[in-house]
Amino acid sequence: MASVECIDLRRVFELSDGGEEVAVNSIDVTIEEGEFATVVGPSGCGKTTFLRMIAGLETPTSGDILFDGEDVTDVSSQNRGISMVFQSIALFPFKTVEDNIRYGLKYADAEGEEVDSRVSEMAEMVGITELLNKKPPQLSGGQQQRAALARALIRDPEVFLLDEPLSDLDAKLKSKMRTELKELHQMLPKTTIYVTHDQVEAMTLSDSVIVMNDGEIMQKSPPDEIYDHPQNAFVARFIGSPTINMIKGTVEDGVITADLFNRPLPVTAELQETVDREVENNEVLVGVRPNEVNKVSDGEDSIITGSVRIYEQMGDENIVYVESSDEEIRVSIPPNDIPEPDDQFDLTFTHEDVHLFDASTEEVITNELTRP
Amino acid sequence: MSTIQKRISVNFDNLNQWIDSRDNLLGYLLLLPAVLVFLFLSVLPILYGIWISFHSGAGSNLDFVGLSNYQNLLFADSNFWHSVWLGAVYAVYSVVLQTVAGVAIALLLNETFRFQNFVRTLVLVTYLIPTVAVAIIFRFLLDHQIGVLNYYLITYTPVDDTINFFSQELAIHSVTWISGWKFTIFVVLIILARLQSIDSELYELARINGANAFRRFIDVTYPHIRSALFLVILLRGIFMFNKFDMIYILTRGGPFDSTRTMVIYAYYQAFGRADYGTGAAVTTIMFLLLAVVAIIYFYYFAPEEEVES
Repeated sequence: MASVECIDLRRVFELSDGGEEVAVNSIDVTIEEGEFATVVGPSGCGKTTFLRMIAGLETPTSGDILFDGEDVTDVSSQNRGISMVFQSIALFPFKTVEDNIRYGLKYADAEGEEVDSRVSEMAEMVGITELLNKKPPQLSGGQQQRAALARALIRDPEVFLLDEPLSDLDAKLKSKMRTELKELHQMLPKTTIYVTHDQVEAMTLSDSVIVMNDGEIMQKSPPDEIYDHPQNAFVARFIGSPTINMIKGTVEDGVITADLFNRPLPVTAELQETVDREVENNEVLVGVRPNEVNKVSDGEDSIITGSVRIYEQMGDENIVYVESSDEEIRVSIPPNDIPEPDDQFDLTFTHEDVHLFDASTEEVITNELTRP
Repeated sequence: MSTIQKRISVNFDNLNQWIDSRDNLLGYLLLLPAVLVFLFLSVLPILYGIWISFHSGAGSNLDFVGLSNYQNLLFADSNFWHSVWLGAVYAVYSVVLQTVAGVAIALLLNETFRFQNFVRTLVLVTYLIPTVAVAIIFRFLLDHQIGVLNYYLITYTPVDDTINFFSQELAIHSVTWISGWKFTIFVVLIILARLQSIDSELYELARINGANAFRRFIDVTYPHIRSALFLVILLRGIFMFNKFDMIYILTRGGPFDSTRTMVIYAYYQAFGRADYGTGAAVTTIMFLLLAVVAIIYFYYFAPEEEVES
């Protein structure tokens, strides 16, 4: 096993029209030995390019990649001690499952019997022993995925790389494979880098989540922290479903005011000072997650009042879109509470649940507003 | 109620039958043109050709001679056996040349490069020039006295005397390479199409697992193009064995009989010597030879299974 360290990693593609496209702008990150790190971000954010550079399939334009402190930037991919599972699964259609798994060791120094026992060991671990003599087209999507995992793991890699391996599976199979991957990592705690666009996979699988946007890492934190303490508005918006509410406001004279608010929210003198010092025009984004917004009955001290536009039934909750002064607030309410269109909703939330961001830089000011 | 239901269902049965039979009739009607074309343009000419091969003479003066044409060819005509040999040499030589060159060019074209669509189209040009034009152009280019190629050879290389590319020794090579110049693109097109369907991640996987460029060809490329290769080899083999226009225009089978393949020999018998029966017998033997080779080929390589998978 090895730790993976990237120093100022950059990859620029030259386009055929003479222009340039920056896929990965500047990445500085360390993934510890045995860590399961998930790289998540919208499509085109450079996450796959980042993974392919670690795999040695893509040459960085500049920057270094270190495995266990050793520079591997110019080491070819077969000598990096990595294994990779591809999005397209990439099993050889003409070979049996057994030969596919065996291929993982084809060019390694391994003897016949040793290979045989490793093959059956891997097949057993991923639960495809009875399928060894079949060919990939005869297998279901999940079985193919397991075979690809076995082929990658038989190499006993220092670093295990996965590029959106579950994206072609249906929802049910996806969650099943997710659990199996997690189990597998508990059994073989290898340094793993897992690329996905699915935040659920990122949150459930990993020791740490790396959120990427526009070729840069926005944040690397454990799942609970990335949810509770987003370092910027992008991460707050990207992680969490339904998406966090971002309300435009200003912090002045010890209160937050917003068009949407019925009344100003008081803040501490300390925060006011910070905002005065650091935030342009004192403009902020007030972030509140839909499940932290509460509906209150009339007369109580509400912060926002609006009318119901639409709602979505999710089974375990209803997501209501409440409209007020041309802005929209998402609220999560219990499933038995079914609203009517144009119902008036009085909403409130507590100080502690507010994430405050600088409106222009989108950097976090605080992830827990304190009452003065 | 039940009787009404019964009557309705009975009526529907009749209706369905009626529709069924109408459908079938329409089906046969739609097939008819294709069947007629096949019958008149393929089956009847073949049968007529075989029928002629049992006769002597030309035009409408045909006398039935039984199997004597075949007897003469097979047991008394060394020229015939020479033409069989040359036909096989030309076909095998061409298939090897076109397949090797075709796969190589396809592999090159499959790489990503600037203007790739333009270049891929440009390569097709050789196939678009009519065979007659190709043959005449190459006759000039390779001419013993006025050929440009000989000019360049003498001016820029150590060669100090003109080479007669259509001599008795070299003619078969020239004919094969000129055919290759035109027909290799057929192989390129089919192999390139197959190459483009290969998942690039398979190559990357092979790379990560330690396969070098040659091993990647063996592990990934070859299994994917194998089925297409079998088909291409069969088709090119049949086409080149039957090739007439290119050879005839370039050499007319000469000098002497150095490029007189089976087809040329059949033409020579039928129209040079006005012996329709012998010419037809030669082509009938070709037909049987190809059928036997194709059956053996299919039996051993089962290319149609490969195509399905």
